Amino acid sequence: MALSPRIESFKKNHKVKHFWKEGYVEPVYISIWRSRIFTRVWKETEGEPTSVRKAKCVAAYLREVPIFIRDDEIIVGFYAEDPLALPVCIEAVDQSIVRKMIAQGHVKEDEIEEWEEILDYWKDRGVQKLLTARLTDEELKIASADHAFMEVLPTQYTSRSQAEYDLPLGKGLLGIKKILEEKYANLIEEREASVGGTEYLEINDKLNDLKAMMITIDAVIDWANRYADLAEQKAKEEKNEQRKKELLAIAERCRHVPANPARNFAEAVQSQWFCFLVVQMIEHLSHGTSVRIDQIFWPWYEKDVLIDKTLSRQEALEIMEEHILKIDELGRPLPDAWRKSIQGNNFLGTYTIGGTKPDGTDACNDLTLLICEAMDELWLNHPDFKFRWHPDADPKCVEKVLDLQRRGLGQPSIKNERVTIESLQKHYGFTEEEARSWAVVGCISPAPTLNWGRARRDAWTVYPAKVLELTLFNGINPTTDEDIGIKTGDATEFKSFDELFEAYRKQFEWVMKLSARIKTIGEDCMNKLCKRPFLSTLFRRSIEACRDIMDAPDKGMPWVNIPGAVDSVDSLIALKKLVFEEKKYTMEEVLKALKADWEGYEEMRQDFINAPKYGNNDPYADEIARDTYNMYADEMKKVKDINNQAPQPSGLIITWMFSTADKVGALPNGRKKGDYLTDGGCSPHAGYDKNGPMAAILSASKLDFSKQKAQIFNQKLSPSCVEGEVGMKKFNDYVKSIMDLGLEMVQFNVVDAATLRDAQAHPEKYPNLVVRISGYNANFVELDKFVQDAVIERTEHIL
Amino acid sequence: MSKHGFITNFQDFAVHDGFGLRVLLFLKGCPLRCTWCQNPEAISTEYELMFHPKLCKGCGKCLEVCEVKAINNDGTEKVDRSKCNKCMKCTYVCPTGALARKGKWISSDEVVQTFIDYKPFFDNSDKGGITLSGGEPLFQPEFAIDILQKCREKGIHTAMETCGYANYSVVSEVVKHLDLLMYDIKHMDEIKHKKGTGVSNKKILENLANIRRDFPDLEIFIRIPLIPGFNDDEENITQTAKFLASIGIDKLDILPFNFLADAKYNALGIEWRHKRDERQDDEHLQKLAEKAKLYVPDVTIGGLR
Repeated sequence: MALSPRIESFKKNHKVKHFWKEGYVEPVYISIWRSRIFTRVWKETEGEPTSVRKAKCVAAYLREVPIFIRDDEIIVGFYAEDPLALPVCIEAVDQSIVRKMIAQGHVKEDEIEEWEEILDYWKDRGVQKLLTARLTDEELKIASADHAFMEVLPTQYTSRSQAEYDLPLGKGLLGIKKILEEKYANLIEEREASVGGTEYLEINDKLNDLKAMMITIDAVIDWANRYADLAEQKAKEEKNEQRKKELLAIAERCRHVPANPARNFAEAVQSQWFCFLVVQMIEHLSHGTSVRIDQIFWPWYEKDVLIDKTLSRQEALEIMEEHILKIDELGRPLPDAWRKSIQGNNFLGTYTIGGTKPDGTDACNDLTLLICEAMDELWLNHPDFKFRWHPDADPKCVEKVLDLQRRGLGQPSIKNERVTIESLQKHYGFTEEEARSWAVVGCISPAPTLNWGRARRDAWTVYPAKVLELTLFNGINPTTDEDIGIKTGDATEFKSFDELFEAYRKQFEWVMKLSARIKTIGEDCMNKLCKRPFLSTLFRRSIEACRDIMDAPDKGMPWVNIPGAVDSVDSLIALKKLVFEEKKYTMEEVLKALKADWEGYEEMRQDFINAPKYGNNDPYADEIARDTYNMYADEMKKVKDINNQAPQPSGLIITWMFSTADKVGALPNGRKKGDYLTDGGCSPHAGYDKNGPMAAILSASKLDFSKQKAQIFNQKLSPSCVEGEVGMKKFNDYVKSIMDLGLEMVQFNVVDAATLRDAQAHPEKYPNLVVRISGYNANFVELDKFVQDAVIERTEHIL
Repeated sequence: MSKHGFITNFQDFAVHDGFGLRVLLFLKGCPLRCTWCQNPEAISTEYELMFHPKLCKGCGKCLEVCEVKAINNDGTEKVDRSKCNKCMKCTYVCPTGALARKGKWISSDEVVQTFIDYKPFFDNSDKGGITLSGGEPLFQPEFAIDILQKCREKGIHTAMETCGYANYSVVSEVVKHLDLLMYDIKHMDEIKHKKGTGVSNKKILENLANIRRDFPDLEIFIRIPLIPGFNDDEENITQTAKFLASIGIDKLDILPFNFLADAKYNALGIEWRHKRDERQDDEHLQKLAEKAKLYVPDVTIGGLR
């Protein structure tokens, strides 16, 4: 299969925002337009209701920001004035991120002065200010320690915007506006009848929010019309007849959508793209995509391609490919630790395909297959695709998914429909129908798209290995000697493993409570300032409530990432065996060795390396793993997010294993400071799983996944194991077994070490070498050497 | 009653040896001495001392315990095999596993219990199950029979890889518990066979014919490990295929030469005669497969079934 010349050309010229080492792959810069216009309008609207102010900012931006249409585009629209521009959410961002971009030259030189003025204005008004005013010194210190203990501040990361796209596609924005107008008219009547009191305050809030929502609808329609005007103007000047026709078609589409219901597949994709850009990149900065891409466009695809045959499958494929390339162009500025954490990626765009319909039958369709074909032709590491596997999934789709995996694309990764739906119903309390509508939000975490789509970032992160260090050193952080944790007892006095485990539990409990408090305040600060008038028009629950989505009823959907859990598990196993059972070493000796980063304790370190390890189907080790993962889940159950919902653990690490490598000290699993932590959520540490891939799966299957939000299991397979027709069948059987065993998610790295080493030496030969790094894909040659070496080492472990 | 057996190791996700998803158990000890053996550590019925230089940190602990002074720490050959009495003391003190003992006594019940853990994989794949390999499983028939019998009772598909060199009374007792037999024919020429393996092929060919006659429902794959210059000529493949056709066997796997065993020979301190041999090129493999197909309907290159 080969790309069409148009898509090939677009792929060549598309501008990715991927991080590379300390910087970016492309010469990106921060766009001043949003910050400039938002600052001006914010000043002009001082004193007005926050949602209305926000709506006026969005409207002014959409009317003023320069727009462009590129030669190879059929679907148009971009969030800023230039494909190389990064958006800045000035009211919500940690200012040091912007300052760093300026210092690194990711800025237009003649705009630096203006940036300074803007930063100065928001210094006392932004979310950052609201936060620092409300957090305690201790909370601020721990939360700002840059991926040492936790990652929880909203200012250092972006939000989520998981809209109900069937609304604009099916009703059109004008259709939505009509509903809003009716509600507004009814409220005006209520207002006239009102006698005041809190009841009237509610009516007043609703009127303001509805007004804000309608302002943004008009602005988005005007913005689309600007693209129509530009396309018409370009068509007039265009000499090439073919392109002229395309430009006129673009104009026609942009005149019609998103204002009106989409009439065909191309309009559906165009309409969704306009709305997506506004909610995701313009109104507020978000990441991820959280869309069931094979479902939201299906009615139009089915009609055009399969029933009316007004669109060829090839034309539909190109539209999908262009759409995917555009997602790959999205990006954001992030702080250093995050840049290291998502090397070779930026936006973490995630699409969900497959799964079941509301009635439980298979949702796979021809569009699912077409999207896999697009992935095949494009061969990109981003965006990321997840396949909702279930036993009745269309075998054609399953085979295509596995074929992409075995040929080394590493995606789509495979999620277990049964396990996910169970967790969404049991822990989070969604109905079966809601649970079946799930898509991945963020990297791997599932959330319903029906009724309860996300408008906030529900996740935060704590580092269990760091918490173990605090436990062993009684509250002292051994890498900085700061007294930061709580006193859980002198570890050298512990008489049994149970005492150690209890101390670890207490320390973890403390971290969870602390982080939940910070998270709650952070979300509240976001609520106060960052209203989402346009996103609110794309949610039934905010339309129904006549309130901004940030103030509309919500069900919490929180989770806490626990990168490096396996290192903690292996450390606990080794301590139990060597200190408490065999008594080969005292805890004092262990602490000395850890403090010395194992220098001078090499033999002892080898004993700790050779102690039993998780991932070998060894009941001794696997029991401790199960207890530890359960402990994380149980402690999380005690805390609450802003909606009073308790989080569940989520096992992903993206490349946190690298950004935290220097921050976590030596560990009793034999790890030295600076070594990367275990990748994946519940896959064994590379090299510690000695009994084969199936034994490693059996170990993981003993974890209680009903208590986990999501847990990635990464596995490396040798290409020779899955080649040919027979290999495909065995691969299929293998995945079925893994799903049967109840693992929540699995992804495979099918590539040999020799290829990787050659790519390290000759990056120019491998522009498209995609490797799997837990939770997302990366282009191998874009990774820095440290990360590359780690990937090679893991790969070499294949037998 | 549980039997005890001597093994080297288990290997899971074995997809190239039999149907479906399989777990292999390598039994230690073999009556043949094939010069190309892929599992040299499994040939002898004694413990073997393996040395993996990449893991050695040069701590010198092994020097202290070696009573026959068979260990050097000067960076050259670690173990002087002429002096080593295989007391294995060094493997007890080596902190990194660079010096390792190969060989483990295990009860058949423990083996069966381990296999049962993998049942979800077997049940989800077509005829997936366990495979006894080696070494030579027929070398420990009581142990093998006990494992196979108990696995079958648990509904697990059973397979065995064998060189077929044993008395037929033993062979038939083991084969009776099998769902699948993978049987090696190294060469059709008796003299060449003896040269390559140390034994005559007469018993092997006879046993095979008898098995086919006595167990007409048993699935049998014949495997030819292709050794450069020894048996990878068209004539030998043709003769083998003809023989198979004459006794009514219809499945043949020709296995390209695998040079990966070199690392194991190094670890055992044995010079490997086939060190410089190379995998047959695809064209040659295709030609051999074509020749075989003239007589045997179902031929694979590589054995992925």
